[in-house]
Amino acid sequence: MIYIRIIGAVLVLASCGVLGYYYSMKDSWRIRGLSEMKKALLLLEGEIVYAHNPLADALAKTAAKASSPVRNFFIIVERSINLGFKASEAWRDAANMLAAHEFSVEDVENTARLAESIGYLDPKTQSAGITMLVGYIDAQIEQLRQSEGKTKRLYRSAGVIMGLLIVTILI
Amino acid sequence: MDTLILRIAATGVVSAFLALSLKKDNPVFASLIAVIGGVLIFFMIAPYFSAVLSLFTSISDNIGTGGVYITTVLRVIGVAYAAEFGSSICADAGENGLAQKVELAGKILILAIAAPVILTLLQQILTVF
Amino acid sequence: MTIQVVFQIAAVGILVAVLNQVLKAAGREEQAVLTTLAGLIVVLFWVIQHVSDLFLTVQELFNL
Repeated sequence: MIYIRIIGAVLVLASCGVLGYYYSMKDSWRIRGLSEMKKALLLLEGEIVYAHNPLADALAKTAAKASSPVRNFFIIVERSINLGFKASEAWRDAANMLAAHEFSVEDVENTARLAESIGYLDPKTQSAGITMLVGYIDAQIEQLRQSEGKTKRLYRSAGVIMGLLIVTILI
Repeated sequence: MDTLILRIAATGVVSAFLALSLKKDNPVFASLIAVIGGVLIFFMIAPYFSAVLSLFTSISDNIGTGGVYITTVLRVIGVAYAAEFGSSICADAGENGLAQKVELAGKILILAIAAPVILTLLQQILTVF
Repeated sequence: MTIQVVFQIAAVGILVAVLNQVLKAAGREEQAVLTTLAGLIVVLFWVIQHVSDLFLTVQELFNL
Protein backbone atom coordinates (compact mmCIF):
# COMPACT_ATOMS: atom_id res chain seq x y z
CA MET A 1 0.00 0.00 0.00
CA ILE A 2 2.73 2.44 0.94
CA TYR A 3 4.70 1.50 -2.19
CA ILE A 4 1.91 2.59 -4.50
CA ARG A 5 1.80 5.93 -2.72
CA ILE A 6 5.54 6.40 -3.06
CA ILE A 7 5.45 5.50 -6.76
CA GLY A 8 2.54 7.88 -7.32
CA ALA A 9 4.30 10.69 -5.49
CA VAL A 10 7.50 10.16 -7.48
CA LEU A 11 5.51 10.13 -10.73
CA VAL A 12 3.73 13.39 -9.90
CA LEU A 13 6.99 15.02 -8.86
CA ALA A 14 8.84 13.86 -11.97
CA SER A 15 6.10 14.94 -14.34
CA CYS A 16 5.85 18.41 -12.79
CA GLY A 17 9.61 18.77 -12.96
CA VAL A 18 9.66 17.76 -16.62
CA LEU A 19 6.81 20.18 -17.41
CA GLY A 20 8.71 22.99 -15.72
CA TYR A 21 11.87 22.09 -17.61
CA TYR A 22 10.00 22.00 -20.93
CA TYR A 23 8.51 25.44 -20.42
CA SER A 24 11.86 26.79 -19.37
CA MET A 25 13.44 25.63 -22.65
CA LYS A 26 10.69 27.19 -24.80
CA ASP A 27 12.42 30.57 -24.87
CA SER A 28 15.75 29.05 -25.90
CA TRP A 29 14.07 27.18 -28.73
CA ARG A 30 12.39 30.34 -29.88
CA ILE A 31 15.71 32.19 -29.98
CA ARG A 32 17.22 29.42 -32.05
CA GLY A 33 14.27 29.31 -34.47
CA LEU A 34 14.25 33.07 -34.86
CA SER A 35 17.97 33.33 -35.64
CA GLU A 36 17.70 30.50 -38.16
CA MET A 37 14.81 32.30 -39.79
CA LYS A 38 16.84 35.52 -39.90
CA LYS A 39 19.77 33.81 -41.61
CA ALA A 40 17.48 32.21 -44.16
CA LEU A 41 15.67 35.48 -44.84
CA LEU A 42 18.93 37.29 -45.49
CA LEU A 43 19.93 34.53 -47.90
CA LEU A 44 16.59 34.86 -49.64
CA GLU A 45 17.00 38.60 -49.88
CA GLY A 46 20.39 38.10 -51.47
CA GLU A 47 18.99 35.64 -53.99
CA ILE A 48 16.14 37.93 -54.96
CA VAL A 49 17.94 41.26 -55.09
CA TYR A 50 21.43 40.43 -56.28
CA ALA A 51 21.09 37.19 -58.21
CA HIS A 52 17.67 38.19 -59.62
CA ASN A 53 16.63 34.56 -59.48
CA PRO A 54 13.02 33.55 -60.05
CA LEU A 55 11.24 32.95 -56.79
CA ALA A 56 11.11 29.14 -56.91
CA ASP A 57 14.86 28.90 -57.53
CA ALA A 58 15.63 31.45 -54.83
CA LEU A 59 13.54 29.48 -52.36
CA ALA A 60 15.15 26.17 -53.31
CA LYS A 61 18.65 27.62 -52.91
CA THR A 62 17.73 29.12 -49.54
CA ALA A 63 16.19 25.85 -48.36
CA ALA A 64 19.37 24.00 -49.32
CA LYS A 65 21.48 26.28 -47.09
CA ALA A 66 19.01 26.56 -44.21
CA SER A 67 18.75 24.04 -41.40
CA SER A 68 16.01 22.01 -39.87
CA PRO A 69 13.01 23.99 -38.67
CA VAL A 70 13.24 26.74 -41.25
CA ARG A 71 14.28 24.50 -44.13
CA ASN A 72 10.93 22.70 -44.21
CA PHE A 73 9.17 26.03 -44.37
CA PHE A 74 11.04 27.10 -47.49
CA ILE A 75 10.69 23.68 -49.10
CA ILE A 76 6.93 23.78 -48.58
CA VAL A 77 6.66 27.25 -50.13
CA GLU A 78 8.76 26.23 -53.09
CA ARG A 79 6.72 23.08 -53.70
CA SER A 80 3.46 24.96 -53.47
CA ILE A 81 4.67 27.49 -56.02
CA ASN A 82 5.81 24.73 -58.36
CA LEU A 83 2.37 23.18 -58.01
CA GLY A 84 0.88 26.39 -59.27
CA PHE A 85 -0.26 28.24 -56.18
CA LYS A 86 0.18 31.98 -56.02
CA ALA A 87 3.34 33.01 -54.17
CA SER A 88 1.56 35.03 -51.49
CA GLU A 89 -0.90 32.23 -50.70
CA ALA A 90 1.86 29.65 -50.60
CA TRP A 91 3.92 31.80 -48.25
CA ARG A 92 0.98 32.53 -45.96
CA ASP A 93 -0.13 28.91 -45.70
CA ALA A 94 3.39 27.69 -45.04
CA ALA A 95 3.83 30.38 -42.38
CA ASN A 96 0.70 29.20 -40.60
CA MET A 97 2.18 25.74 -40.49
CA LEU A 98 5.28 26.90 -38.62
CA ALA A 99 5.89 24.75 -35.60
CA ALA A 100 3.97 26.13 -32.64
CA HIS A 101 6.51 25.09 -30.06
CA GLU A 102 9.34 26.99 -31.68
CA PHE A 103 7.72 30.22 -32.79
CA SER A 104 5.19 32.35 -31.01
CA VAL A 105 1.90 33.54 -32.48
CA GLU A 106 3.36 36.98 -33.14
CA ASP A 107 6.27 35.52 -35.09
CA VAL A 108 3.91 33.53 -37.31
CA GLU A 109 1.75 36.59 -37.96
CA ASN A 110 4.65 38.80 -38.91
CA THR A 111 6.12 36.13 -41.17
CA ALA A 112 2.76 35.69 -42.86
CA ARG A 113 2.61 39.43 -43.44
CA LEU A 114 5.60 39.11 -45.76
CA ALA A 115 3.32 37.15 -48.10
CA GLU A 116 1.97 40.38 -49.51
CA SER A 117 5.23 41.51 -51.08
CA ILE A 118 7.01 38.24 -51.75
CA GLY A 119 7.53 37.23 -55.38
CA TYR A 120 5.09 39.91 -56.42
CA LEU A 121 6.45 43.42 -56.47
CA ASP A 122 9.88 44.61 -57.58
CA PRO A 123 13.03 43.40 -55.81
CA LYS A 124 13.47 46.68 -53.93
CA THR A 125 10.07 46.43 -52.24
CA GLN A 126 10.57 42.77 -51.49
CA SER A 127 13.91 43.59 -49.96
CA ALA A 128 12.31 46.31 -47.83
CA GLY A 129 9.69 43.83 -46.58
CA ILE A 130 12.37 41.29 -45.74
CA THR A 131 14.44 43.92 -43.96
CA MET A 132 11.43 44.86 -41.87
CA LEU A 133 10.87 41.25 -40.83
CA VAL A 134 14.56 40.85 -40.01
CA GLY A 135 14.37 43.99 -37.89
CA TYR A 136 11.42 42.57 -35.97
CA ILE A 137 13.31 39.30 -35.42
CA ASP A 138 16.34 41.20 -34.12
CA ALA A 139 14.23 43.09 -31.61
CA GLN A 140 12.58 39.89 -30.41
CA ILE A 141 15.93 38.12 -30.02
CA GLU A 142 17.26 41.04 -28.01
CA GLN A 143 14.23 40.96 -25.71
CA LEU A 144 14.43 37.21 -25.29
CA ARG A 145 18.17 37.28 -24.56
CA GLN A 146 17.56 39.68 -21.70
CA SER A 147 14.74 37.82 -20.05
CA GLU A 148 16.00 34.34 -20.90
CA GLY A 149 17.99 33.57 -17.77
CA LYS A 150 15.27 34.73 -15.40
CA THR A 151 12.33 32.94 -17.01
CA LYS A 152 14.34 29.74 -17.31
CA ARG A 153 15.06 29.64 -13.58
CA LEU A 154 11.52 30.66 -12.74
CA TYR A 155 9.81 27.92 -14.73
CA ARG A 156 12.21 25.21 -13.59
CA SER A 157 11.93 25.96 -9.89
CA ALA A 158 8.19 26.71 -10.10
CA GLY A 159 7.66 23.32 -11.74
CA VAL A 160 9.44 21.40 -8.99
CA ILE A 161 7.76 23.39 -6.23
CA MET A 162 4.29 22.86 -7.67
CA GLY A 163 5.04 19.15 -7.88
CA LEU A 164 6.03 19.09 -4.22
CA LEU A 165 2.91 21.04 -3.28
CA ILE A 166 0.63 18.63 -5.10
CA VAL A 167 2.31 15.65 -3.44
CA THR A 168 2.02 17.27 0.01
CA ILE A 169 -1.62 18.19 -0.40
CA LEU A 170 -2.67 14.80 -1.71
CA ILE A 171 -0.46 12.63 0.42
CA MET B 1 -0.77 6.29 29.75
CA ASP B 2 2.88 6.98 30.58
CA THR B 3 3.93 7.54 27.01
CA LEU B 4 0.88 9.69 26.37
CA ILE B 5 2.21 12.72 28.22
CA LEU B 6 5.46 12.35 26.31
CA ARG B 7 3.61 12.27 23.02
CA ILE B 8 1.56 15.30 24.01
CA ALA B 9 4.66 17.23 25.03
CA ALA B 10 6.39 16.22 21.81
CA THR B 11 3.41 17.35 19.74
CA GLY B 12 3.44 20.69 21.52
CA VAL B 13 7.16 21.23 21.05
CA VAL B 14 7.15 20.20 17.38
CA SER B 15 4.17 22.43 16.61
CA ALA B 16 5.78 25.34 18.43
CA PHE B 17 9.03 25.09 16.49
CA LEU B 18 7.33 24.59 13.14
CA ALA B 19 5.15 27.62 13.84
CA LEU B 20 8.23 29.61 14.82
CA SER B 21 10.01 28.76 11.57
CA LEU B 22 7.04 29.97 9.55
CA LYS B 23 6.27 33.07 11.60
CA LYS B 24 8.43 35.42 9.59
CA ASP B 25 7.36 34.49 6.06
CA ASN B 26 3.72 33.55 6.51
CA PRO B 27 2.51 34.45 10.01
CA VAL B 28 -0.91 33.10 9.03
CA PHE B 29 0.43 29.58 8.61
CA ALA B 30 2.23 29.82 11.93
CA SER B 31 -1.02 30.55 13.76
CA LEU B 32 -2.79 27.74 11.90
CA ILE B 33 -0.09 25.28 12.94
CA ALA B 34 -0.53 26.36 16.54
CA VAL B 35 -4.30 25.86 16.27
CA ILE B 36 -3.94 22.39 14.81
CA GLY B 37 -1.40 21.46 17.48
CA GLY B 38 -3.90 22.45 20.17
CA VAL B 39 -6.67 20.45 18.51
CA LEU B 40 -4.42 17.39 18.25
CA ILE B 41 -3.49 17.58 21.93
CA PHE B 42 -7.14 17.81 22.90
CA PHE B 43 -7.97 14.73 20.89
CA MET B 44 -5.12 12.87 22.51
CA ILE B 45 -6.58 13.36 25.98
CA ALA B 46 -10.25 13.23 24.95
CA PRO B 47 -10.79 9.63 26.13
CA TYR B 48 -9.38 10.48 29.56
CA PHE B 49 -11.57 13.56 29.64
CA SER B 50 -14.69 11.51 29.18
CA ALA B 51 -13.46 9.04 31.82
CA VAL B 52 -13.06 11.83 34.37
CA LEU B 53 -16.45 13.32 33.52
CA SER B 54 -18.25 10.00 33.83
CA LEU B 55 -16.54 9.65 37.25
CA PHE B 56 -18.11 12.94 38.31
CA THR B 57 -21.53 11.93 37.02
CA SER B 58 -21.38 8.62 38.92
CA ILE B 59 -20.42 10.51 42.09
CA SER B 60 -23.40 12.81 41.59
CA ASP B 61 -25.68 9.81 41.09
CA ASN B 62 -24.51 8.39 44.37
CA ILE B 63 -25.16 11.65 46.16
CA GLY B 64 -28.75 11.64 44.96
CA THR B 65 -30.40 15.01 45.41
CA GLY B 66 -27.80 17.29 43.86
CA GLY B 67 -27.91 15.62 40.43
CA VAL B 68 -28.90 18.70 38.46
CA TYR B 69 -26.06 20.72 39.90
CA ILE B 70 -23.41 18.40 38.57
CA THR B 71 -24.74 18.72 35.01
CA THR B 72 -24.74 22.49 35.44
CA VAL B 73 -21.12 22.40 36.57
CA LEU B 74 -20.23 20.23 33.59
CA ARG B 75 -21.88 22.60 31.18
CA VAL B 76 -20.12 25.55 32.75
CA ILE B 77 -16.77 23.78 32.36
CA GLY B 78 -17.60 23.05 28.71
CA VAL B 79 -18.47 26.68 28.00
CA ALA B 80 -15.31 27.81 29.78
CA TYR B 81 -13.14 25.46 27.72
CA ALA B 82 -14.65 26.50 24.39
CA ALA B 83 -14.43 30.21 25.25
CA GLU B 84 -10.81 29.87 26.36
CA PHE B 85 -9.90 27.96 23.19
CA GLY B 86 -11.46 30.55 20.91
CA SER B 87 -10.03 33.47 22.84
CA SER B 88 -6.49 32.11 22.89
CA ILE B 89 -6.55 31.51 19.12
CA CYS B 90 -7.64 35.12 18.58
CA ALA B 91 -4.96 36.38 20.93
CA ASP B 92 -2.31 34.27 19.17
CA ALA B 93 -3.35 35.82 15.89
CA GLY B 94 -2.82 39.25 17.40
CA GLU B 95 -6.50 40.20 17.73
CA ASN B 96 -6.60 40.91 21.45
CA GLY B 97 -9.86 42.83 21.17
CA LEU B 98 -11.62 39.84 19.65
CA ALA B 99 -10.12 37.58 22.29
CA GLN B 100 -11.54 39.75 25.07
CA LYS B 101 -14.96 39.74 23.44
CA VAL B 102 -15.00 35.95 23.17
CA GLU B 103 -14.07 35.70 26.85
CA LEU B 104 -16.78 38.17 27.77
CA ALA B 105 -19.33 36.13 25.83
CA GLY B 106 -18.19 33.02 27.67
CA LYS B 107 -18.59 34.71 31.05
CA ILE B 108 -22.08 35.91 30.26
CA LEU B 109 -23.14 32.48 29.02
CA ILE B 110 -21.76 30.87 32.18
CA LEU B 111 -23.82 33.29 34.27
CA ALA B 112 -26.88 32.43 32.20
CA ILE B 113 -26.33 28.70 32.71
CA ALA B 114 -25.64 29.06 36.40
CA ALA B 115 -28.51 31.49 37.04
CA PRO B 116 -31.07 28.90 38.20
CA VAL B 117 -28.53 27.40 40.64
CA ILE B 118 -27.72 30.83 42.04
CA LEU B 119 -31.41 31.60 42.41
CA THR B 120 -32.03 28.35 44.26
CA LEU B 121 -29.05 29.06 46.50
CA LEU B 122 -30.36 32.54 47.32
CA GLN B 123 -33.81 31.14 48.09
CA GLN B 124 -32.27 28.57 50.44
CA ILE B 125 -30.31 31.26 52.20
CA LEU B 126 -33.41 33.47 52.50
CA THR B 127 -35.54 30.63 53.90
CA VAL B 128 -32.98 30.14 56.64
CA PHE B 129 -33.32 33.77 57.61
CA MET C 1 -5.86 12.83 13.48
CA THR C 2 -2.13 12.15 13.73
CA ILE C 3 0.83 14.50 13.86
CA GLN C 4 1.02 14.14 10.07
CA VAL C 5 -1.46 17.00 9.64
CA VAL C 6 0.93 19.39 11.38
CA PHE C 7 3.74 18.35 9.04
CA GLN C 8 1.49 18.71 6.01
CA ILE C 9 0.53 22.24 6.97
CA ALA C 10 4.15 23.14 7.71
CA ALA C 11 5.26 21.73 4.36
CA VAL C 12 2.59 23.69 2.50
CA GLY C 13 3.59 26.83 4.39
CA ILE C 14 7.28 26.47 3.56
CA LEU C 15 6.67 25.60 -0.10
CA VAL C 16 4.29 28.54 -0.52
CA ALA C 17 6.90 30.85 1.01
CA VAL C 18 9.60 29.58 -1.36
CA LEU C 19 7.28 29.86 -4.38
CA ASN C 20 6.50 33.41 -3.25
CA GLN C 21 10.19 34.32 -3.29
CA VAL C 22 10.76 32.74 -6.70
CA LEU C 23 7.78 34.52 -8.25
CA LYS C 24 8.70 37.85 -6.69
CA ALA C 25 12.26 37.52 -7.98
CA ALA C 26 10.90 36.98 -11.49
CA GLY C 27 8.74 40.05 -11.10
CA ARG C 28 5.36 38.35 -11.01
CA GLU C 29 4.00 39.73 -7.76
CA GLU C 30 0.32 39.15 -8.57
CA GLN C 31 0.84 35.44 -9.09
CA ALA C 32 2.77 35.30 -5.80
CA VAL C 33 -0.22 36.74 -3.98
CA LEU C 34 -2.52 34.27 -5.74
CA THR C 35 -0.45 31.23 -4.77
CA THR C 36 -0.29 32.36 -1.14
CA LEU C 37 -4.04 32.72 -1.13
CA ALA C 38 -4.51 29.29 -2.72
CA GLY C 39 -2.24 27.64 -0.14
CA LEU C 40 -4.11 29.45 2.61
CA ILE C 41 -7.46 28.18 1.35
CA VAL C 42 -6.23 24.58 1.21
CA VAL C 43 -4.80 24.76 4.73
CA LEU C 44 -7.91 26.47 6.09
CA PHE C 45 -9.93 23.63 4.61
CA TRP C 46 -8.01 21.13 6.75
CA VAL C 47 -7.97 23.29 9.87
CA ILE C 48 -11.70 23.99 9.75
CA GLN C 49 -12.44 20.29 9.47
CA HIS C 50 -10.36 19.53 12.55
CA VAL C 51 -11.70 22.42 14.60
CA SER C 52 -15.28 21.46 13.78
CA ASP C 53 -14.49 17.91 14.96
CA LEU C 54 -13.10 19.42 18.14
CA PHE C 55 -16.18 21.49 18.87
CA LEU C 56 -18.54 18.61 18.14
CA THR C 57 -16.60 16.45 20.59
CA VAL C 58 -16.66 19.18 23.23
CA GLN C 59 -20.40 19.49 22.76
CA GLU C 60 -20.86 15.75 23.23
CA LEU C 61 -18.56 15.51 26.24
CA PHE C 62 -20.09 18.34 28.25
CA ASN C 63 -23.71 17.89 27.20
CA LEU C 64 -23.86 21.43 26.00
